[in-house]
Amino acid sequence: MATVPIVYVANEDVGTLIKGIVAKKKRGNVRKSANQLAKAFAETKEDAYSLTSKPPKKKNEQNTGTKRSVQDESDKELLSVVGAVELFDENVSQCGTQVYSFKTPKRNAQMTKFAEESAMKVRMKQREKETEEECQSSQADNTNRKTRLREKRIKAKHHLRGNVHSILTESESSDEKFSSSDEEIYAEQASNNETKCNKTSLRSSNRLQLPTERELYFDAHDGEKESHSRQCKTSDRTLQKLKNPRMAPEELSRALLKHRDKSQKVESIQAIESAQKKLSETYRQCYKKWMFYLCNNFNILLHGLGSKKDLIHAFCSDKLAAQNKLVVNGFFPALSIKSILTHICDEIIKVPHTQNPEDQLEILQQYFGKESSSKESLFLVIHNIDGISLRNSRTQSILSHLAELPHVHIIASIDHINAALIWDQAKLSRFHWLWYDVTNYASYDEETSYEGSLLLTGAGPGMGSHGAALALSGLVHVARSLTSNARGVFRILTEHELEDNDDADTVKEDFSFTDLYQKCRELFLVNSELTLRAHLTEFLDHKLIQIRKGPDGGEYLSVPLDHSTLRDYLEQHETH
Amino acid sequence: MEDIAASSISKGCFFIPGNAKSSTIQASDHFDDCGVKPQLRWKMAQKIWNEIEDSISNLHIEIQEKLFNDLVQYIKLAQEKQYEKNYLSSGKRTEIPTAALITGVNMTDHVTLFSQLCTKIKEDVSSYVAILEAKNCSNMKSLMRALGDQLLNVCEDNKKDGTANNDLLVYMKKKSTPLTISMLEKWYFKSIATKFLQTSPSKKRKLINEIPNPPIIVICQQLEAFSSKVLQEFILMCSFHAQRLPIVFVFGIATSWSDVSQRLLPHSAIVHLSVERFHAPSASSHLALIIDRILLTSQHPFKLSGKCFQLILDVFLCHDFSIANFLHTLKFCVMEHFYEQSASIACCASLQESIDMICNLKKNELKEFKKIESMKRHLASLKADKQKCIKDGTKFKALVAKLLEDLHQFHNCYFSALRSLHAFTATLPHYPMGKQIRELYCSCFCTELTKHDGFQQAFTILKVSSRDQLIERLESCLKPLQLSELSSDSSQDELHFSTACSRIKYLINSLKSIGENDEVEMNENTEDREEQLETVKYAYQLQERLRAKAEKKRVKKMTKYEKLREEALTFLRKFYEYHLRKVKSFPLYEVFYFDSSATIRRHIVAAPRLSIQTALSDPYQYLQVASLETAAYGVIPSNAPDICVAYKLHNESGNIINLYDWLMAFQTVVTSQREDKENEHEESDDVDDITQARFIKAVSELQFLGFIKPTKKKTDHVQRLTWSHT
Repeated sequence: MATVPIVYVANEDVGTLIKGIVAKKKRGNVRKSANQLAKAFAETKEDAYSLTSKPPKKKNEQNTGTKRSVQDESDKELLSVVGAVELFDENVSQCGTQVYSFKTPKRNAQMTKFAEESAMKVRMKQREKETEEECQSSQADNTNRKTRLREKRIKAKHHLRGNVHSILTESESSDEKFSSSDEEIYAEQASNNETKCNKTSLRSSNRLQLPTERELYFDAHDGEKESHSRQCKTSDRTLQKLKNPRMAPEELSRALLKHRDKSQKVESIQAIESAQKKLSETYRQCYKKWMFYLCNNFNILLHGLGSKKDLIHAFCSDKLAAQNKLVVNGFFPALSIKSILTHICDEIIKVPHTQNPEDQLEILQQYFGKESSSKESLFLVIHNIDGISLRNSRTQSILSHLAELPHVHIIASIDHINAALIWDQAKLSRFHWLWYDVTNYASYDEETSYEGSLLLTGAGPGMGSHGAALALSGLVHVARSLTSNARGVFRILTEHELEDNDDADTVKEDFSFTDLYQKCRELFLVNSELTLRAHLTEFLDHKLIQIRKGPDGGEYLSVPLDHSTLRDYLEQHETH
Repeated sequence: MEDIAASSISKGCFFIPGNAKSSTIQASDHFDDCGVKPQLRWKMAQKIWNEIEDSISNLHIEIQEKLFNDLVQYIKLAQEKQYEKNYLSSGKRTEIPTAALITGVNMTDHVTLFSQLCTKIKEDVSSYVAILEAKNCSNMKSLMRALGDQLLNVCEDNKKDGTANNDLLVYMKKKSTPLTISMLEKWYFKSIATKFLQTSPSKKRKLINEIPNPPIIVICQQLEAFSSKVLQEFILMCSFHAQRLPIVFVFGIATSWSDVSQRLLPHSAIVHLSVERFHAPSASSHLALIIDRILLTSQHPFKLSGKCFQLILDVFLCHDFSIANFLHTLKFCVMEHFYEQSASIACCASLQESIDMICNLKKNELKEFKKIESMKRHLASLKADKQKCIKDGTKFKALVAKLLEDLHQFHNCYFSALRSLHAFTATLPHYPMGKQIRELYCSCFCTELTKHDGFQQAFTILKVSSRDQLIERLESCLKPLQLSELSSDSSQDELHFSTACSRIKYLINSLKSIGENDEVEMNENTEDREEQLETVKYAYQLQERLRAKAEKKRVKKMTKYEKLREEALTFLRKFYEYHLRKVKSFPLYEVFYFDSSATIRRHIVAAPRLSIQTALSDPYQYLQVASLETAAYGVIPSNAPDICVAYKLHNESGNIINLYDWLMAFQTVVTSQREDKENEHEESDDVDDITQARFIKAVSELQFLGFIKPTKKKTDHVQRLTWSHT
């Protein structure tokens, strides 16, 4: 516990003392000011020394890492009373309230404003840099340069103040009407302002525009009357405004390649890429340590932003080349714990596998459970142990029992922000995780290829570029196994599904069972309702259609697959 | 053989076999190769950890032994009573003997507790033990199946059974047969009969005198997790058969028996049980014992610094009451200490071993010692001529040996003095020095006693303590000192334990002999007073003189008791301040202490969400590129990674986000670097396909991470799943 010394000073000296402790940066609130306080009041040289001492021989830490730990120690000296803060804080600049904060109401078009301001500031900053460079390289003498700069800054400030004023008045006047037209007016205004103020200083525009009192009042109180309409207070523009509303996956990959080529020449992006590479290099130095802990009955868990697939693969080829490994792609949507256990049983123990995963687990426990040192070890390399198909409690429980065995070692990665919720205390104590932060900003190419996206063609929930191929191949496979009559029935369904899509205004009519029956009879595909029902049950089993009960009691059918997949299917298999 | 980086659309897992003749992995192969004598360090680490683990498990067994013995005793007695009851009077309602084992909330350690209990019962009392877990017993059928499976496996070794028994056994073992308790009863009596027949005549005589029928013991691991209905039915059913079938229940209860009897079981069920309560040692008292007897002693050379200690304790108390996790964290600390700190080669149990180790070091290995922080400080503080001789290897070794000796001596006294201080101040109101000895340890580690608030406060309170209290406290603080080995050595040093003990004893005796208010003869020395007052020049001098005189007056007016009290307190103060010096002030303390609580926090108590959000909102923390520094202020640099830009923009919106607006904003930010003026006048409705592609990628990555998800509320909108400041 640090004590605060009481010093009697003369009146003149009070000012100097107070100035020294002003927290310069507003963010980070308590933490930063506490840090400065600690330094100011460090009582003995030894205390000051201990505040800046580094932990010994940390090869893997970067500079910020040590800086963080320094501030950590000094903050703790002062905030030792606040026990809960200590437990959850590692990083000084973010405390708990910044990560999990309250739902603050956002104003209309706040995102656009934010983007515009940020872009404006970036451009200003860059231009200021350029003008300064120009001034420095010019032949004028010092005084002239300074006055010129000063003049420019004064002019710019004036401009900016005018701009700020105009922006605020504009937004105030447009607050009452929620039309999207004011968005365009605002955008125009912003671009006009940009052309006007070429050189501005950054200092005055450091902070975001704060909402006026009027805006805040309306934000808070209008919601009482029409809470529903208020919540979905976004503009009504859709992606149809774009010339290419949904990109095909091939276009996407082509565009990204183009971007990569282009960015080779841009210096700023190259700087970031080299920083990324440096970051990955530092993580490679940890491999030996990971292997050491794996041998000591700990399991390694990697977290942090960026795809950890390459990192883990490099580790495997480096250290685990001679060991038995089972690589599990947790992001694969059709994975199951049964398939994992089956693989292990088949390949390693060569035991005919039983149906029940729990029985398989027992066999594995007997095989790997003995502590003898002559046993071979099994390494489970699980990418995204928090993957969609591995999230349920049963799977994690079985994995945790596997992790407990002395000859089974797990190295896994997590990505979802709520990943830690899949484990309760019992599972955590069996896993014995050692967490490592390996943020590397690599892109999640493979992991997202299985997911759906609204913006891609051939996409829908659960289908991405890989997924689209899956869906189509699945459809074809099922269709081949159907009789020609059944295929015909399915064709009718798909055609109906696709037909009303051209005109976006009309609502698609639901396809009732009786309509379908009529159409099928017309085409001589079925004899009786019973046969039709049999066909429909088969489609239902393959998850090709969905049946709902309508408001009048009749059954309505729909095909939940993506339209482009259906169109592909119809085109390719027209002859059947 | 498949490539390790394989990915396919049909398979999720790939097996890659290793070499057939690969040797098994050894941890020693992967120990840090650089540093001082890695193999030897690793052996030491293993040895120290095994010692710590053994002492903890011995303690564990000791604690549990009493409990287990009590339980086994109870079961044996219960059976005898039952037998007598049944023998003597039939027709009375029989109660099922039940042991209510109150285990406390911690669940992860209970699994081992119950399995050990099970083995002990199997050894001592009977082999018919079954452990029921709540997840297997959701209805009666599964409960009976679980019970039956465990009991039927008991007599698998009886190969000479009669065919009738075998058939019954086979039938019962099938998973599809619904087991009933009458079937179990039949099987039980048959198996007892066959066992009886198979034993030799001499054993038969013995058996008849002992418990007639080995009891069937049913252990319910977490009683509160069972559904009340199933439990009721099971108890009722067993009570019907209790006359013939000797069942004993052992319930593991997390809360308390009164809770169970009020909430879980109705009176109609409890009436059939005759309950006796047992208390298992609670996790926190277990931990307190571990800390007292093993960690806060000089038994093991490895020690934790105050902060690390506090952190591990906080994790225990706030996250889980699990001793197993505590041990794991401790193991991690030991491993990390020996891995990272090369100087830990000298971390041996005895001083002689450490010194031998130092003498065997080569010159480049000695350099590691020079790198230690506290050593650097110490070297810097030495005089210049001494610093020159440090260059010489042997002189440096001698210096290191001396420092280690100092540290060793210090440690010999440290813990006893700590306990003595704890005993001395433990009973003070408001606990200025903490209630538990571990709090005292943490605070003494971090601050000097002279500056310690609690210490000052404690002594202020003690200055006004009464005679009886003081005698009591002195006696309690004497005990730990007497227990330590050093008190038997004789020494001239005033602060040595033996002299301290004798001095304290003398004080106690003299305190006992005098009354509270004995007066002391006063010596009058009034002559020099006036003289002093006249020579005063300034006001502050007068103040000081007056204060000094008041002090003298107070001292003279003190009674004998007060004088003794004063003497005792000053002596003890000096004693504690000498022996409980701050550990960090000793050079080379890093050899024995593991001090990096940040490492523990990073690896054991990690916050994955924090790392993702920091990476997104403030990429400067990870990528040290100057242009990214402004990202934290709200100015998004245009060369920031795409996902960061998308993240920051999505933070500015409400519950649902319009994809088009988002795309436009993304484009604005990303293309803000462009110099050409014609782009500014363009209608920004058309998006470049590269930008669109980047946007799509960023959005799908955010969706993968769990920040947004597609929604059907409005077309082309996504829903936001998190709320955060930045």
